[in-house]
Amino acid sequence: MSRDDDALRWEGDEDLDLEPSADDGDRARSGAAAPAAREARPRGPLGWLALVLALAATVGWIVVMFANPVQQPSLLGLVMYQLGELLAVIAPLLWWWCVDRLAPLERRAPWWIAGLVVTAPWPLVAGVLA
Amino acid sequence: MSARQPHEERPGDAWIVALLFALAFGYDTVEAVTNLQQLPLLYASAGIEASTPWWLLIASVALPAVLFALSLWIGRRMRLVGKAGVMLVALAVSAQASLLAEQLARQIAVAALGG
Repeated sequence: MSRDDDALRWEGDEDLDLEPSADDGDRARSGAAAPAAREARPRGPLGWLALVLALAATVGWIVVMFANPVQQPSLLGLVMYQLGELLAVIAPLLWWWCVDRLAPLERRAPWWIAGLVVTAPWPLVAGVLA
Repeated sequence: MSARQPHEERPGDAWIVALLFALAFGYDTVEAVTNLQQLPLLYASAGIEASTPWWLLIASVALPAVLFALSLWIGRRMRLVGKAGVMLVALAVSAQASLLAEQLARQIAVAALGG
């Protein structure tokens, strides 16, 4: 069957929707699509503690958002401001997850601690101290 | 020459992703420059121009570029997804810093008006 004929027929197209399996030939062996998520990356107690603290920081940022409602003069300004708020809220968890996935095992602890310091809900702290 | 696999990264992909994030960081910088222009006028209109937090306004202008450069440096040996993840974290930290600057500017104004 020519390619043109094949393009006009449905048979076999269901296979195109399937996820490729891990032993799917050259692509898996090339390393280009080797998923980091399948590597064994034990977190240990510090990792879970960092996750709990990151969740707490996220809650803190949500409190900051609700405590400081802001009006913007334009729709674009409002959309961008709310996008910034969303990013600020997810930042602690995003940092934790990126360290969990990307950092070498021996360097994860300092990166997690740095993330907890950097992404802490500082506006809340400043408001309490004021 | 073998055909390129669909999931294989091209060298230019990292630059395209970096350019897209540069636009986002650029927006943060533009916002900070606007604040640098407008906030002193607001403080002056309230009669508290002496309390204008210049250090905060200037730091707010510089921070997005610093964070973008840091994210490029940290992700320089990572694959594309890792680079994008690091830049997204840096953008999120930039957003947090903007909100912190806003809170500090508000508190400084309140303290100046109250004092």
